Amino acid sequence: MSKPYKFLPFRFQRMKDKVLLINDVGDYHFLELDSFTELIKKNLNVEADEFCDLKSKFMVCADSLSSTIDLLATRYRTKKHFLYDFTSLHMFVITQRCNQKCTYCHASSIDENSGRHFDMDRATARKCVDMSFSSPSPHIKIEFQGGEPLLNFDVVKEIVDYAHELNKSNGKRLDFVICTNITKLDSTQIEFIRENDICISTSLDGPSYIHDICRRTRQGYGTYEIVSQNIAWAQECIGRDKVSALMTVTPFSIHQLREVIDEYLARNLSSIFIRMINPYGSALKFWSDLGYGIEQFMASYADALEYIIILNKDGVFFQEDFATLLLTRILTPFSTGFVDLQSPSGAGIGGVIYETNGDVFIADEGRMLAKTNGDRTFCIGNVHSDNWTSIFCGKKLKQIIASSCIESIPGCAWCVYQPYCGSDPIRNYLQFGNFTGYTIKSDFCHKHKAIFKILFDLLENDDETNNVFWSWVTQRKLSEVKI
Amino acid sequence: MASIQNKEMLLNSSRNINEALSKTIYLYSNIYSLKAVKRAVYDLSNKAEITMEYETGGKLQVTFCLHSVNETELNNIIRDFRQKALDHQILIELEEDYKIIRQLIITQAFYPCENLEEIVDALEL
Repeated sequence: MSKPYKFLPFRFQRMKDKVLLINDVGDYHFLELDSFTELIKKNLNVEADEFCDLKSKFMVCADSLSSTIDLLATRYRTKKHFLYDFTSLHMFVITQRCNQKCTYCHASSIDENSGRHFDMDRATARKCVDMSFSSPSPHIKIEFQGGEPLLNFDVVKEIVDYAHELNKSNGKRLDFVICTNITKLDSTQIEFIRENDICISTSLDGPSYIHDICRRTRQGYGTYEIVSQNIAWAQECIGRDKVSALMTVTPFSIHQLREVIDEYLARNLSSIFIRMINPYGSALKFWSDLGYGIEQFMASYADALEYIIILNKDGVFFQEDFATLLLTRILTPFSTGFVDLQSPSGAGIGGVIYETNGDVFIADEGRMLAKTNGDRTFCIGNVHSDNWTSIFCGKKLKQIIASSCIESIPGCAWCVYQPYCGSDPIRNYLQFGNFTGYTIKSDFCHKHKAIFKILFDLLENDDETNNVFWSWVTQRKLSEVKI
Repeated sequence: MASIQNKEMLLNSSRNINEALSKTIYLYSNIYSLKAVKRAVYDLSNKAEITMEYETGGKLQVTFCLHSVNETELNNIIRDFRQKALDHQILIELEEDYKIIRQLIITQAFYPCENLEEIVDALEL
């Protein structure tokens, strides 16, 4: 029986012999080609199972439209809830000094013996904390970056103590993360980190024969030994779940990601973030040696993901962090703000970074651009001379954010993956000279589309992998989510 | 729906002489909207040089130029283009269909109103 029905907002894409439909709140459904034709002709039988599936996934509506709109509005607001966390991530460049000289260093750090004038001083640190707490967000995450933040640990302590003091009257959820190469960690520092419930985020590129190629001291020594020792020590002192690591894929590791994953497992880490190298800082300088194509990266990423899924099916809980983020967007109704992939962009409104002198940049990449070639496009003020309103409600930030809404960017506006995706105005500026970019030629776009395609192929065709994905999203063992 | 005209030509540039291959197809504008064709052109603009022109008789002329003589590649681009133009046309018609519903969802998400049912009735959705 055919009966009139209404379309609800969705986009579609052909995938082999099926059509993938995704609505504005992220529900998805695969339809056979014939059924899709019937759907758009409004010939589907409203009592058929297929129609009921589409109705339950809010692609069509045959009943009360106002209650459906109301429900979808709630779902839409939930998906965009990260906007209410304006601005929750506050990154502090504690020092520009670093004891390492990694080949691909994005931060363009300088020698650790260069003098304390490359450090953030206490007065600036307190001003930055004041600025962080001026944010309306109920959740403040302070991330210590560098250089190597452990080299100016007194200021880290000052920030933590002062933030706790301010929070007595603010009552916000307050988290701390220290991004460190971990080589300089000492017992006083780890005790303070433990006492204040600070998470450690470090870098591990793989086993020594991979890690030591790029991650070396200024004297030229590999850092693998001390990094692996200190990861184990930190896990013992503050707990396994408080220590995470990420890797940067280089031409030296791109064909050996399975070995990198084995190394992470050997280090008792429960996840990996497989990160493509970005063309900033030193990486840009050595791009001819360090760069690679998106196709090459995607082939390796797909192979690594396949390996991780096999491990999970064999009973080892281990996840790829970026896939988990995207799957959370695909499989759950929850909001997952991720400053590098949201619409509007999280630059400035999701996270900011404070330079050692108090300059405020909308993202680390914007700060690197200023350091690399003096381009201060992404600097939105300074904590000493500007107030919260002039920094966060200024014309410059509004212009950048307005240009980053993928709902109105050519190519993104009609992309089926739009509800899960985002834009990177800084990357666009670097590659195309404007904030909006040109999606057709954007590696950022190609990479994300390719990952979405891999995930949807697996979701549609492999039930066991579906269970693995659910275990990642819910952070439960595979045996607990198996249907 | 669309007729194909083959044209092979040589392009001169100030630096050297490049051999190029071009093909033109005609789309009826009562089937494909300009918006759908523009979107399809955008989607494939990194694969070939594509130009559009209006012809008389309600036809839209789309020319694909590839700076190589790989005819299979050019034919594949044209095949992709047709599929994309068709899909964009479907999506544009869908967008037109659910446009007001989408606006109501987003408005209701951030500026909820009490009388949504009355508004829906008044709009005769």
